[in-house]
Amino acid sequence: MAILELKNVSAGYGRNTILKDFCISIEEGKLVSLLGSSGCGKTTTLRTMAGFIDVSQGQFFFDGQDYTHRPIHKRGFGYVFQSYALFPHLNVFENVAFGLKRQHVGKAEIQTRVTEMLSRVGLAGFADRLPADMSGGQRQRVALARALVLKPRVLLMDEPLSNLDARLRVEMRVEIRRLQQEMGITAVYVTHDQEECFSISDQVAIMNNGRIEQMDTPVHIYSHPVNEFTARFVGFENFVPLTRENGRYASASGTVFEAEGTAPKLKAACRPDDLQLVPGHEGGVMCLRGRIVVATFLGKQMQYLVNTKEGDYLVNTAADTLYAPNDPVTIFFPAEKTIYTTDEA
Amino acid sequence: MRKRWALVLCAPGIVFLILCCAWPVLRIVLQTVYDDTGAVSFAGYAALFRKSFFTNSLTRTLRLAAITTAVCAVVGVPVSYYISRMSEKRKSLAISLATFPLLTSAIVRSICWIVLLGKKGVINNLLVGIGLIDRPLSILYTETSMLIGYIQLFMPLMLLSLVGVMESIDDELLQAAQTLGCPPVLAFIKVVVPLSVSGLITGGMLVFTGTMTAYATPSLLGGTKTKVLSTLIDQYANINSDWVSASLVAVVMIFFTVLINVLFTQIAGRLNRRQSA
Repeated sequence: MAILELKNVSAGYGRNTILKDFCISIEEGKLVSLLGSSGCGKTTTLRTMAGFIDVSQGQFFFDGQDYTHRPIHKRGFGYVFQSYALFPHLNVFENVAFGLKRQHVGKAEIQTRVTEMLSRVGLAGFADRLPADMSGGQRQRVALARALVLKPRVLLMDEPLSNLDARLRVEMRVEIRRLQQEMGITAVYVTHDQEECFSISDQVAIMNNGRIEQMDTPVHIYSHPVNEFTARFVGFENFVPLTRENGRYASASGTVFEAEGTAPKLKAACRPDDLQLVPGHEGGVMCLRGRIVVATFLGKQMQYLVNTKEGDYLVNTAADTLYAPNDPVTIFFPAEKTIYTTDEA
Repeated sequence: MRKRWALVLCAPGIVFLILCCAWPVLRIVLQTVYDDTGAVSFAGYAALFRKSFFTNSLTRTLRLAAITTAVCAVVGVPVSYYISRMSEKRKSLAISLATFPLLTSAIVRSICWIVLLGKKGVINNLLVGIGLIDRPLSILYTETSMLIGYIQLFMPLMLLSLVGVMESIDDELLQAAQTLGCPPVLAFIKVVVPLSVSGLITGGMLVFTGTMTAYATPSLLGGTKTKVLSTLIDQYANINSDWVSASLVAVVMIFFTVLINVLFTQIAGRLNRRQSA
C-alpha cells in the first residue's frame, strides 16, 4: 500500500506553478529517487511533501491521512537539506538532540539515543564539535543523524551528496542505503546524478517539465526506457527515426529495422557501447552505412563519430581495429540491444 | 619602513585626538580629583554620591537606557527579520524609512512629540474627544515621554545592526527546525534569535550608550523632576556655573559608558568564541 501519495497536486512558488496535476505514489519501506535536470520539479515535489510549499490544488496523503495542509512540524518527516542546514550555534550533539528535546524525551534517553546515532553514522567522538569545524562529509552525516535520530517513518533527501567529492559520494550513498534498510524507513531521494540514484534506489521516477516520464525499478528503466527523454537519460544516444510502411519499419534511407508495433512512427536507439562497427559498406537489416568523421581515443575504447544518411552516430569500439577519418564503415544495431521508443517526448 | 610610514600617516589624527579629545577629558578628570589645596582627594565624589538628587539622576539614566535598549531589542528583532527577508528594492525603501528619525534634527523630532503628547496635544485631545478619558493624561515631561523620544531616536541603530546579521541567516535553518518538531514561532526563537546575538550586542551597545549620553531629547521631553546625567551636567555648567560639579557628573557618566561598553564587549567576545571555536 502506498504510504506517500500526491494526488493531482498543483504547487509552485508564487505565481510560478511548477507541478500541475501531479501524481506520485510511494510504497512503504522503499527508497524512491526523483531524477531529472534542474527545473524539472523534483525538489518542488520533495518540498511539497515536507510542507515547505503550499499546495494550490489536489491532495497529499500520508498513510491514508490527508496531510495536504498539515503544518511542517506536525508531519514528523525527516528532511536532509542540500546545504545540510545544521544549526551553526549548536555543536554536533546539540544539533542531533534538537528534535528529541522538542519531544520532551528524558535527558538520559537523549544522551543514549544521540550517542548511539552518532556512532551509527561514524561520528562517535565528534559530539562537541561545531559544524564549522567539520568537513563536508562529516556535516552530511550530522544532517542525516539529526533527521534519523527521531526515527521518522519518512526521510526526504534533497541532493544530499551534491556538495561532496566523488569518492565520498560513493561511500555515503552506500551508507544512506544501509541506514534506510536497517531502519525500514520510506525514503524519497532527489538527485540529478543518474548513476547515484540507480545504484541505491528501489524505484526511480524520471522527471521532466513537472511530470514523471517514467517510474520503475532502475534495472527496468535502464533496459526499457519508454520514451526518447528517459532513453537519453539512461545513456541511449543514437536515435534512428523510423516510419511504418507496408507493415515494416524502415529508416529514411530504406534500412529495415525489426521493430514490432502499430505506431506510425518509432525511433530505434542504441547505446554507443552496444553498436557494432564493420569495415566497408555492407548491406542488410539494421545496418547503416557511413564514413568515419572523428576518431577519439578513450583509453580502453575508441570512439568514432560516424556520418550516415540518417545523421551522425557515436560508436564506441574496442581499440583493436582502428579506423581513420573518411574510412567507409557500416554500423550494425544488435537486435537485443536496440530499443524502440514512441516519438512523443 | 612600512611601520615608520604608518606612524607618519597616523600622526595628524593622533595629534588631533590628543589635543581635542584626550587632553580636555583628562583636564576634566584631573579637575575632579584635586581639592582646593592641590592635594589628591576624592571628597568631591563622596559629596556627589551623598546627594539624592544626583544618585536619582544616575539610576534614572541607567534605568531609562536599559528600558530603551530592551524595548528596541524586543521590537527590533521581529521587524529586522521582516526587513531582512524583503526583496532588495523593498529592503532599501524599508531601511531608509527606518533610519529617517536619525536624519531629522533632535530638536524638530522632540518638538513634534511635544505637539503630540502635550496636555492639549493631539493624543490627549483625541482620547478626551472620544470619551476614553475624562482629563488629559500627563505624558509630556515625564519619563514616559523621554522613553518614547529615546526609542524613536535609537531604534534605527538597533534595526541596522540586526538586519545586517539576519540577512546572512539561511531560511533553511528555520525549515530544518520545523521538520524537527518546532512550531514556526519557537523555531524563530531557537534559531534566528541566537544567531542574531552579535547584532543584538552591537545594537544594544549603540542604543545604551546613545541613550545614556543623549542631551536634546531629555532636555526637551523631560521635566525638572526627571533629570538625567546629561541634563544635570548642563544645569551645573550653564545655569549654576559650577564647573567642578559638572565635571564630576561628566566623569561618572564617562565611567559608566565605558563600563557598559566593556561589559557588552565581554559578552560578545564570549559568544563569538562559542560560535567560531
